[in-house]
Amino acid sequence: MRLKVAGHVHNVARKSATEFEVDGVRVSVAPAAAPRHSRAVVVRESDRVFAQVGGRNYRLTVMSRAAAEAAEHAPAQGELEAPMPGRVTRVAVAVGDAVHRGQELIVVEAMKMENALIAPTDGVVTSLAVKVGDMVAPGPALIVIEPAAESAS
Amino acid sequence: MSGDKRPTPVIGQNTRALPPIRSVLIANRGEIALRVIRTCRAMGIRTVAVYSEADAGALHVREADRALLIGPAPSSESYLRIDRILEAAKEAGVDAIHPGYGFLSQNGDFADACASAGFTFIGPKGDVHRLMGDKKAARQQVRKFAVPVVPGYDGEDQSDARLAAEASRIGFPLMIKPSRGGGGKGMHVTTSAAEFEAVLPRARRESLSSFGNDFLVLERFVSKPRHVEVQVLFDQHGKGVHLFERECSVQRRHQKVIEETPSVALDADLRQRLCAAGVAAAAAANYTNAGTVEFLLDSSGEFFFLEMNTRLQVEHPVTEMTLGIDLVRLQIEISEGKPLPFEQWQLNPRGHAIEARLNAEDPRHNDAPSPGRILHFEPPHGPFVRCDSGVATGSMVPEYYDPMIAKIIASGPTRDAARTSLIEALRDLVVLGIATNREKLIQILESEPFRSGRIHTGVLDEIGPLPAEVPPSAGDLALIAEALETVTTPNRAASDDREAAPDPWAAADSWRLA
Repeated sequence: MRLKVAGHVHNVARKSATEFEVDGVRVSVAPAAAPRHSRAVVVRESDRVFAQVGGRNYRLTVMSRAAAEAAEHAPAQGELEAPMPGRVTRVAVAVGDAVHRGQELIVVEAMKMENALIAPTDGVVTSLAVKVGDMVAPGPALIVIEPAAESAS
Repeated sequence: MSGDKRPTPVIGQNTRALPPIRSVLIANRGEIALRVIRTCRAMGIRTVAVYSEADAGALHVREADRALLIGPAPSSESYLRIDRILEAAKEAGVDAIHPGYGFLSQNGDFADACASAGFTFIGPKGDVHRLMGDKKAARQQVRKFAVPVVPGYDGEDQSDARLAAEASRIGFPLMIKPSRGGGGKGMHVTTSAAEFEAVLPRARRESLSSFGNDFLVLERFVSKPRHVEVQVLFDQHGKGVHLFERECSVQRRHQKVIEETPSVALDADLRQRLCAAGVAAAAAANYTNAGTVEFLLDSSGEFFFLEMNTRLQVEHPVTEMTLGIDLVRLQIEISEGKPLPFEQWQLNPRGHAIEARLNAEDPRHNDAPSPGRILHFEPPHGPFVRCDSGVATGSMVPEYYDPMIAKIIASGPTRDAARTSLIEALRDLVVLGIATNREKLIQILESEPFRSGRIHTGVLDEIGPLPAEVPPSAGDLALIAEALETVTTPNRAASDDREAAPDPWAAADSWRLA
């Protein structure tokens, strides 16, 4: 099984009743080997996994072999998704606009808190999927920035 | 009235008894609606919930004996609509209305409207809400009853001589604020009369250029204050008691995060004076029912009236835990005209209790709200652990309301026992599907300033942000993979012909977890 978490893809496979191999290293899951609070509680929703282990929360993605390989070779994309479900209250740019790193692009509001989507890089807006008033949720790209360096090369 | 150690005869037995309350509409949502429902059930009172379109599947709707839709998701069209709530109350034929906290709970017009429509409002009268809701009027009123307020000057005479004289009367450190100001702009803290005279012209210029007015207000600067509040309870026969203090110094942008009782900052003498001031402030407003008087406490032990909350507080459970009383039951009994069932001397708190507020927010992303579906919720268990929750597995956390979804409270014989028990409870608590501040709460409770009790309203800056997320260890990944082997996913794909089904969670157990 390939599990993606915090930008890294890990290979995890069961080897015996009490052992797993994680990225080539053998790890015991025998109750005696696990410290207190190391029970894993997980929920899976299609390929998304929410887990709480050892008092920490993780969001993981279960990846097919093809998806894992594609992810490893994918170029850095200026695709920005909503940080949380909410309503778009401001759209500061249009398709074709040049933007600079750190510029505020879109503001999403939920629970009376505003969250800005910030340009991760200098570049040009190549796609814009939302307008003011739209309801959005994490997942799909709201805006795509083509990095300036790439368009120059 | 307070601080009286001798038994006094119970008064009010001969006053006219009001009819008992047999049904209550709760004009609120979330954990507080469920909290009120629980006590009503124990008292044999029928409960009626109201809900917005966003809360159709909410727990409080399911747990009440009856639930009525009052409008669309935004609170301005539902939970803040006095007319719709009163229509629901008439439709359901209830005796009384409990406002909870937030929403309309401190709205004097709502209290009046309930009364004139023939419903008992479980809380003080409209005039009391209006008086205490007007900060300036409230300060003036409590001052007449010798309750200390932050010393200051906001008079018309703005001459240098008068301001200098007022400054030395108020004392240092002293804050100079533009009268029209806001957001901390143009404010100066001065520590001596000489510095005051030097800064005054600049403060005037800044006030004029920023706010178009050079009218200044002087106020004692309270450095690193603690927030300490007094719970009071007044019946309808003029009798009042205090239920001791709560300290709520751990705050983020004026929002309380951790609350506890007793406060480590008070000794017996200071506690007695503070609690007496709380009762005096409430008496100054002719208060009835449960209320809370908030004070700022400075490092020298001087305290100043901040404001009065004319309702039940979010953090009321810590008081309940150390006194062994049910504040909602007492609110209802007071509203029925019953006299307070105890004397001040009979109230003796035991041990320590701490509450942590669980919010649907992401502490690693600037505390951004995290509304959404809770895919799994496991409340903590254990002796002396209480979880007042508004959610369960499958609950939707709407984006429209306050992000607080639950309160975890732990008590123990000592502060440290309560603290460690609360940390364990927060580790056991499981919330999957949305981000929460669970790890942040543990960080605060484990921090040196909290452990030692050296807290103040700015302590979260001292504690610092939650450390960056640590990637899971190989051992954690193995445990996750093992758990995933036995998990069945929420069965959405299997019913793809019913793709448009609004709520797969409404169906029976279509999911399972390890």
